[in-house]
Order: sequence, then structure tokens, then C-alpha cells
Amino acid sequence: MKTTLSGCRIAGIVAVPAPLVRRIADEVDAYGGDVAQVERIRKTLGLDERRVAPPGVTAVDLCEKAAVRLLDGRERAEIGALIFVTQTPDHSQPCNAAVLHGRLGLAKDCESFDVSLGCSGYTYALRLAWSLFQGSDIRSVLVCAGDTLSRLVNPRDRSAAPIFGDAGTATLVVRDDAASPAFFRLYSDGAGRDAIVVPAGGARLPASRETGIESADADGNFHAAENLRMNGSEVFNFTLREVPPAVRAVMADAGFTVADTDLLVLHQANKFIVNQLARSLGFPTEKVPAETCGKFGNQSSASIPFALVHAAGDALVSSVRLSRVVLCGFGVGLSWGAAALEIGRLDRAEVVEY
Amino acid sequence: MFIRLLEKNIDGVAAGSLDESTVLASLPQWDSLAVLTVIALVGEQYGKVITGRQIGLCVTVGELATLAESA
Repeated sequence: MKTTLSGCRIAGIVAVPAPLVRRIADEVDAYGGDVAQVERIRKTLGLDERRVAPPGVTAVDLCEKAAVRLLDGRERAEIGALIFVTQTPDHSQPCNAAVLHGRLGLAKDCESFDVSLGCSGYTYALRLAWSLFQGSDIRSVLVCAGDTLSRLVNPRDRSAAPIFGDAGTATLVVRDDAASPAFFRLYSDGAGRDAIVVPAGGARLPASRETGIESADADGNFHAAENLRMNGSEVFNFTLREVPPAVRAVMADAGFTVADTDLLVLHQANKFIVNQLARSLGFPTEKVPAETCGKFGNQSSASIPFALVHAAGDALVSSVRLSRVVLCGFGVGLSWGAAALEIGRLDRAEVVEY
Repeated sequence: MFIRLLEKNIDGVAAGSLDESTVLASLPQWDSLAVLTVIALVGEQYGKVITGRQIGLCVTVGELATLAESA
């Protein structure tokens, strides 16, 4: 649906990559020892390094680090809502938003809840954040988006393991009646729910000894039922089919053109997909950041805010001019969403190490 | 033509090494990554989206070329 919302703006974004560096070139043995094949994966998808969380570090920890930095010098009691987007919560209950609410010591008068989405989740959370200002006296909303998908993939699955990295982000949205409107288009296709799936570990198939048993598929990749599985070609087809129309729709709603849009920040699935989408949409590559996945990995829900500050953080803080930015996330669900908004004069927009 | 483009775009396949009768499964590089490359290549060169399933039904390079080049 077409959604237009006003009354608030982004005040700052902080992104935190997980601390451990993994290089695909060092992991040839894990992928069956085929040097030529791993090199082909590396070159085609533009993979080099990714960041993974050590045992015991979760999305809550990474997002807490980001939030503490983001809120430095601000009154925490002003935060009227905390939205946490993740596919890798600390617990099946309570939700990550409750855990982080407690750790940050936020006010009791603060709505806190999770959004269970992955790569599309940031656009959903922004749309929700914008809507929370309508008809309320909320002054600011904290949106945390973070995942540790590297833990869910089987280390011997070369179709997924080399791609995913871990990160946490925090975005502060503040009331501003003078802010220009934001435009959103959100979509779902549950018929494609098996294309990206962790079969076991929920109520449908609880984790057991059996769900931890690994077996090889036809391509020689190993999975257990507790691992994340992705049908790469189906997801790629879905992306090429659905993302360009969604981006065009939200740009038409906002009256943005390719020429006057400063940045198109796509979910950083991998460089290959981002470049394909940029070409399909007629965007010059310099307006479409594509380097995050190759340096930090596919960060699921964290990738859009991460890529935004990684590519343009300094400009978003120092430039007096607002930037016209289009965001688009796509992935597990299947779910996708696009946003068009003006961002600038941020208090903070930076990548901070954990 | 499509077969020369395929040789150029799939890393490790030598120029002139493929013909219409080449069985895709006989190529060591023919895997899910190669399928992505073909989807992207056909999208760029012919302006249409073919699916991984359609590609999976092709046995030979010739059948793949027909899929790519057919309107």
C-alpha cells in the first residue's frame, strides 16, 4: 500500500559490526577444498571479508553498543518507543526490545516490541516508527536492527556460509513537525516462505537431537534442520522481479527521479545483486553503495542503516543540504519494502567498532 | 551469440570450449552460482527474467541458448 507519513525525521544512526574478521580465502577447506570454486564464488559475488560475532555476543549486545553511542548526550527518558528488528533474538521470549529496554534503563512509559523480519525489516520498522508519532505525544523512537545470521548457517554450506556477517544498528527518529514527508511501500509474498527458512527451533519443529544432524544436499552443501537454508536462485529471481517495481513505485509517490535522488541504499545481499538492481533501475553505480557485503558480510536487518552510514555518514552529518534517499530491503518472508525520504544534518552517522 | 557470452561470463570456462551439444552437468563450473550468472546475463542481454527452475530443465548448452534467445 502507498503510505505517506509526516511529523518526524531521522536524527542519527550508529552501526556496529561484529568484531571477528573472517576471510573467504582462508576458508577453502570448510567448503570442500575446491580452490577454483571458492575463487569463483568470491569473484562473482564480490565477497572478501565478513565480520562475525564470537560466542556469547548477540544482536542485543551489538545494538546496545550502537544505541549507547547514539544516545550519548541525550535524555533517555524522552524515548517513547523501542522497536527491535531481528531474526536472531536472545530468547523465544521475552523479546529483544524488552531485554534492551532493561539494559538501557529506558522509561516505563516506552512502548517496546520486536519486529520479526530480516533483510526487509528496516523499511518496515521505519514505517512503524513514523506511524507511532501519529496521534501520540511520543517525542522520539529508537529503532534497533541487528542480526547474527552467521550462527545459523552451517559452516560447510558454501551457498550461505561465506555470505552472512553479524552487526547491530541503532537509529533515532525524533518528532519534527517541519520535516518533509516520508513515503513507504511494503509488500509480502508468503507463498515464497520456504525460499529462506530455518526449519527447526520454533514451535513447529522444536530443537532436538535429530534437528542437529547434518546431511549433504545434491550440491554437496551440508545442513541440519536448525540451520538457515536459502534457495539462492529463487531468491535472486524474486529480487529481480519485485525490487525494481517497488523502488519505482515509492520514487513516483515521493516525486523523486534517478537524477535528483542522491542515494539508493539497497539491502546488501551481495555486490552482484546490488549491481544488478542498480543497472535494472538505471541508477549510476556511484549512487548505489555496494561495498558493505564484501567487507562486512550480508548483515540481514542491519544492512541498510549500516550501508547508509558506511557510504555517506560524513556527508549526512556535515552537509547542510538534505539528501534524497531511497531505501529498499528484501528477503525472508518473502517480504520487501521501499522508503523514500530526505535525510541530513544528523547528529551522528557513523560505524563504531564493538 | 549466447554461447560465446556464456563462455565469457562463467569464470574458468575457456573461449571456444562449448557447443550446443555440451551437457551442462559435465562442466565442473555448473552449479548454483553459474545459474545466478546465467539469470543475470540473460536479464542484461535479452531484457527478460528467466528462473532457476527453467534453467534446471535445460540439459545441454543448446537448450539453454534456446531458452535465453527465445522471445
